[in-house]
Amino acid sequence: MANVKRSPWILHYDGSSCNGCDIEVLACMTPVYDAERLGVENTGDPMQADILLITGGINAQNAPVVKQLYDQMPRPKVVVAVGICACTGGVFKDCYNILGGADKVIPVDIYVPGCAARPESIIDGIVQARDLFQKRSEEHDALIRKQKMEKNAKENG
Amino acid sequence: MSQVTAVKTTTLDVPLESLLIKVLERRQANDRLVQICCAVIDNQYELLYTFSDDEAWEVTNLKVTCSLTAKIPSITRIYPYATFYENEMAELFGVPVEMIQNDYHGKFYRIGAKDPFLKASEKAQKEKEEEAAKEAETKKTQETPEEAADAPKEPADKAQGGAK
Amino acid sequence: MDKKSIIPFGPQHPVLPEPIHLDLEIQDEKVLRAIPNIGFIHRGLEGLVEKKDFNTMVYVAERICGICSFGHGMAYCEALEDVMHVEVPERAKFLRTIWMEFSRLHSHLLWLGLCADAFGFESLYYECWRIREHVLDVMENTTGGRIIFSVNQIGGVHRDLSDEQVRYLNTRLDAIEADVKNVEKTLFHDATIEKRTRGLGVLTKEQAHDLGAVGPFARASGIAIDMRQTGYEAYGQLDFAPVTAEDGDCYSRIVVRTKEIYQSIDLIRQALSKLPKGDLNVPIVRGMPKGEAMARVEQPRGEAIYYVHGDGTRFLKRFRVRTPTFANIAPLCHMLQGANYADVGILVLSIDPCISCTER
Repeated sequence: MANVKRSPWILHYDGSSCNGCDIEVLACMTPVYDAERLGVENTGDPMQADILLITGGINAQNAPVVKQLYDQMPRPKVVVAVGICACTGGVFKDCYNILGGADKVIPVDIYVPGCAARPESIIDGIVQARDLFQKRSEEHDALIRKQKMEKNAKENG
Repeated sequence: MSQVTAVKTTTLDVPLESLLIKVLERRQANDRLVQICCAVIDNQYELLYTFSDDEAWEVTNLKVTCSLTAKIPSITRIYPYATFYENEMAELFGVPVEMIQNDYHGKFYRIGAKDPFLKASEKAQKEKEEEAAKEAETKKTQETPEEAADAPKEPADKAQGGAK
Repeated sequence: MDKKSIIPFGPQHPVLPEPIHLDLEIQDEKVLRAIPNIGFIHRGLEGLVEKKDFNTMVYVAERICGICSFGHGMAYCEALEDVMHVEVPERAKFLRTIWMEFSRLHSHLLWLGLCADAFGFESLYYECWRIREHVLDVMENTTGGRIIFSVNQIGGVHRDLSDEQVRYLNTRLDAIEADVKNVEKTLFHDATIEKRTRGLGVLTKEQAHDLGAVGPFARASGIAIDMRQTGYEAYGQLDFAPVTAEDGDCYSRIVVRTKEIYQSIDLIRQALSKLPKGDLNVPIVRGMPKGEAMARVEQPRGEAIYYVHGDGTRFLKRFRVRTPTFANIAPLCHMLQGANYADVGILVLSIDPCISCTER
């Protein structure tokens, strides 16, 4: 990976997960798998996070919470659905309280299947998220530059 | 050496009226409330209260079978931590538990569906029984004013005696 | 000065791996009352008994919780074996015991790491989880899965341990034990850990009993109760006594769980040495489950109850799980009364909460 400009911070939230994917996400951040060598860090603050790792399906209670967390994250942001429950609802799809995967409430960019998703898959998802985040950052930067130039042109001419 | 303890399990069928007394007996024996389980079998609630004597390794199950509209008394005054089990029962199964200490009023799990563990047929049966109970109640209150008109008047000094 | 405020704790919090919401009534930085609001992980999986037959429900039962996964699958099978009067072969019982104890090992190491992370001791957190990776390697080698194993079936298990794997397990256990001994020096003697946990969140023996506490949480307060004493699976043939502590504070809970790690390693060694030859499972030929049964097992967090009720069809009438954290919520709320707001995170973690188990 050449020219890595930014190291995105990760916010991990458990929607209605059995905790299997969550501990694999945490295992990715610890020695042996160590996703932190890619520059990502696990933060607890949504306002400082760039990548949202969401596990577990969406149910009636956590739908507003997930929406709020997504809204609190500043742009550019990337959402990764980790585990089959976050992708589609998984084995609990037919439960009365599960609405479906994370894409029922927020736009998901990357889907990492598995039950529980293996650390290798999660790291692959994080690497793809980091690349997507870089692309979005550059687009965001270009947009800000363009807006600044237009503003300057208006003020001067 | 390994402690292999044979657990003695007793299951008692308890009528609803005797529930509180039986639970008090368990409290008196210093048993721990292990769990309260609710199931719907043949259009009736089957409640299982499990108590354990941890030192003697004895488990007592109190099984209460009652109709879908029977009023169940809460045992939270005897075992305060039963509140979580009873709130769960009330929310998921629609069990009409009364006088729960720390009643969440159906918002313990805050799920969207009402009584999700009751099948459609069981819900219909419950509504039927509730309607029948309401009608019986209304009939009782309608009869009372007529009965009061026929009954002999109470002596006036009784009321004055209370005021003294 | 008398102003009270209600501060929400959770569902998203850096210290919490799982969402739980507590409304904390606070006055002058002290917690007066804690009101739990749960339901974020409520999937309602017990209702799936109407849609999935009793054989497939094992896979749902395993996924009640990823940390206690093996115990859930095993106990569900035990309850159904009780209803259908199936006698599991001895080898399967020993294998189940071995995997259950490995499950407990990984759970306690996970908790020790999270506990260290809660009071900022990140290097200890990383070290505990690094040791835990040894345990997960073992699980992957023997069952194929790191977290969800899917080896239980009604009637036994469907994977075996070869002699080579038995030797491999013994070598790995030695390595894990040596690593934990290294970490123990820090856990029991580091001044910062003692300062943060000694005398914090004290629950006396009487309070623990009156509030229905179970598992290491209760054992740390001196109540010597452990479901493994009832001898289910192969525990009856192994040397075992519950680990207890006397003080009932957060430090005692760390001590109890660390000692249980050694106890689990010892139990696995005993089981491996006594592993009998034989079948892995018995085929279920006698129809559908009819009747009710209750299985009681010792999950890493305490006593868990599994109640099944079958009516003779392939779909169970009721499957109810009462997990240890559900029983520990009441003593947790009691423990939080009078605590400092800054200590709430470590107190909540000290009961080893497994919210996905609690809410199912």
